Amino acid sequence: MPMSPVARTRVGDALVYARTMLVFAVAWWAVSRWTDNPILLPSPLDVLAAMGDLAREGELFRQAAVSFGRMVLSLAIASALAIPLGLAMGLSKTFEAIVDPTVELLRPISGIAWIPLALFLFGIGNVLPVFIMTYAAFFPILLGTVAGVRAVDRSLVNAARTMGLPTRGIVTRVVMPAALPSLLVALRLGVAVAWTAVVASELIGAPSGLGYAVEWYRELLMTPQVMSFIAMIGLIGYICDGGVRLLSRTLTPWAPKRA
Amino acid sequence: MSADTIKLRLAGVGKRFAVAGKPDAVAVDDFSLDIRQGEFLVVVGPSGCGKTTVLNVLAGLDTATAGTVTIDERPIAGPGPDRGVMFQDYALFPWQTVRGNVGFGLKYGPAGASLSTAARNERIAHTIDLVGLKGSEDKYPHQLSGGMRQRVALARLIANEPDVLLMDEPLAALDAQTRTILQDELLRVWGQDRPASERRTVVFITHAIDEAVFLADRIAVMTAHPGRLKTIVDNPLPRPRTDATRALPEFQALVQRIWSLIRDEAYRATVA
Ligand SMILES: Nc1ncnc2c1ncn2[C@@H]1O[C@H](COP(=O)(O)OP(=O)(O)OP(=O)(O)O)[C@@H](O)[C@H]1O
Ligand SMILES: [Mg+2]
Repeated sequence: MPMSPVARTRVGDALVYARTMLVFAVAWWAVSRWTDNPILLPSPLDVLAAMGDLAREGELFRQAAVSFGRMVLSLAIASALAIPLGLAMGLSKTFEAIVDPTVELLRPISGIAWIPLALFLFGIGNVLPVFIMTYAAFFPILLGTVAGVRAVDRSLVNAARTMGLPTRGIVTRVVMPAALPSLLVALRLGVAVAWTAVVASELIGAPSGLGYAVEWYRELLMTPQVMSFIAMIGLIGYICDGGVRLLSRTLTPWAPKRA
Repeated sequence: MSADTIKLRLAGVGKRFAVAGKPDAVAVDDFSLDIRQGEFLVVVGPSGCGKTTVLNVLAGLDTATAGTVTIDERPIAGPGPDRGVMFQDYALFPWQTVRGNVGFGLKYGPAGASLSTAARNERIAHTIDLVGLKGSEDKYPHQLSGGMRQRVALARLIANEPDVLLMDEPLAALDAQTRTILQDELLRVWGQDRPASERRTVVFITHAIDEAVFLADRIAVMTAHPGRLKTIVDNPLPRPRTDATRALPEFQALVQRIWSLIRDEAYRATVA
């Protein structure tokens, strides 16, 4: 059966992908044979076996679900705080002048830098990773919202004004939809930084989650398990990114296509 | 209301734009014009002479730096739903479909407040049909051709049925046939068949002189640098105007006269 051009590139992409992975696995296997130290670098086959065990027992998915849930919660909190604040900052120069110095002061401090202090405040538990991730996701979402509101085409606002929309209507019917694509780009960035922070914060400050599992098996010197969880972290990060992109396409079918 | 009531009045209007590191740019200077209730006024003039600037001042989107602007003898302080605008760059909402754009004012503005949802949808559908966009209701602006976008902008203005229609080159992107059809439709919407007191007031910018002559009660000719009103030409061609109007010798004569009025201006503006 002849293939459509799209299907052909899909198959082509998959082949390229498979080949790259194979080269990577073979190189890994060769290096592991050469170093010959399964604690330092186990062979890919050992890792695959460990992953299979962890998946069968369910621990892999249990820990992933815990981390994923924390990230979703953190993004929800960060969005609920950052979007209204960003909207207000984008709309009012005065308000921005008041808030901006604080934001600019805190922004360069990475979420991870707060972990020691957060340990004092919250102890080990659910709160700490959620706090760190919320903090990390907050700034990209805030800045993306402000930039989106700023970039709203004046002529669209003018068009709405000539149709007699009240200020409130202009914000909800023009500014917010116009800023949505920029906000979604920011959300994508927020997901990335939150997921990066999940592992770091769970490594130290949580009794569960993928980061915790990595640390737990490291102490037991069970490197194949450690690597299984690391692979899971990468996989979920990848899926989340795809999820946000899918969300963008569904919410803004009208926006010019991005990569 | 008598037919000679002044609807919009521009008195000694000037508009300067601040340009960084240079003296202010004078876009419009000492512009005085009374636009009558129910009048179809067309503005012509070379590119950059300040037509859009005057329209923005009338819309209330820009404030004049000199002179006064009034509607029904009240100063214009800002935009309002009594003055609908069709923008030169259309200003369509990219996140709204054709239907959403055309119905925007009816749904979210005061224009549709007194209408039932059914009546509103009826008017939206009717207006879309009027501009020949039936079948494209669910497309987004980025999926439309330039001419189709312009027709969406026209439909959005018409659907709101404002008292005053301010139109900036509303038919410029259309092919000759569509343009002719929409000129007829526009005259109907304006109220060509009604007595002058029941007509809407239109300020219409165009570069097409035959279009100006076909539509206008009066034609305001502008000069460039600075933008001033050169002269106002009365258009005595009888109404209702139809295809037969275009064939009249008076029609051709008037086109020639307007052309000779702006020719020097156009050359000066282009070469300068
Ligand atoms: N925001 C602005 N800042 C500085 N100069 C401006 C601004 N807006 C318009 N101008 C200037 O004012 C003059 C008149 O502009 P305007 O847009 O009114 O011209 P126009 O007659 O509508 O031209 P066209 O037929 O090309 O649409 C131009 O010289 C333009 O450069
Ligand atoms: Mg213009």
